[in-house]
Amino acid sequence: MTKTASEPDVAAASSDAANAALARAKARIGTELPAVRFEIDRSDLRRYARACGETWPGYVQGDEAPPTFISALQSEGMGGDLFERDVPFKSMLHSDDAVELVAAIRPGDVLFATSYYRDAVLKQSRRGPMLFQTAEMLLRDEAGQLVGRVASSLVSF
Amino acid sequence: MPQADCLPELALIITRQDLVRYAGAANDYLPQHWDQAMMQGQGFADVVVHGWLGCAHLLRAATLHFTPGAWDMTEYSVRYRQPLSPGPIVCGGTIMAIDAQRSTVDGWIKDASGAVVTTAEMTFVRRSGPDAI
Repeated sequence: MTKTASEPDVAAASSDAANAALARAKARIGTELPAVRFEIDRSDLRRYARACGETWPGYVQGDEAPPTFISALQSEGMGGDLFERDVPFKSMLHSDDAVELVAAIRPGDVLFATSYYRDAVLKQSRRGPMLFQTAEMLLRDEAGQLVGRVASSLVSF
Repeated sequence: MPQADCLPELALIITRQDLVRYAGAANDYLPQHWDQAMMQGQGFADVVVHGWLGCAHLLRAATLHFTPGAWDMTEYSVRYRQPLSPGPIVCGGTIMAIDAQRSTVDGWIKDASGAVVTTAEMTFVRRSGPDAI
């Protein structure tokens, strides 16, 4: 069936909107947030370990952070404004994480998180376009040495 | 694959209370994890478990074998393939390579239907000192 000029092309409009969102997202590449300072508290480590069901005594007692604790610093460290939220999709979910752990995180540590917008990609799926956005947070100690890094991706669809 | 290469499976139930506890501990209050009406309006069956909480359980399944006092997890990557609703899950994995100093593990989470919803790759290095990773 041939479309007439007066008929809206829903698929094309959706694709146009998705490409416009991709352009806005790509304009954010390299955007960096100011560093956020964290003082690591034993009770925070204990609370996080309990919430994750950890059983190893070093985690349970808060002597050392479990390997996913870096995620607990993301909400504040990455801030809510880093990702492009003005997107023409109804759902946004977490899709991927990639983590490198260089040093153990312990009570009393003072850490600095710097986050930046890394990339945006539009992919096609059976359900239509999907926008993937990735931001990365680097965690350093007071001497500037890297403690860990986490790259997290969100997918909108 | 020989059974010896598989991690012991970790079965548990993720409840809504677990999501509340995790939200507080991780400072993650996104509505995807508590607003059931919003999520059902978007076509989901229920709220979605925090990806990081599922990841933590999956990594825990591996660290039950690669004990943190003896091994450090130095890298991992996780892919959340399907939304996970609160309910029973099973975590497991396969030891892909291991020697005296280093090991790599591929892990997975299956939901109540048996579908693989999350996968991960993990690298462990033998701990060499009290502050090592």
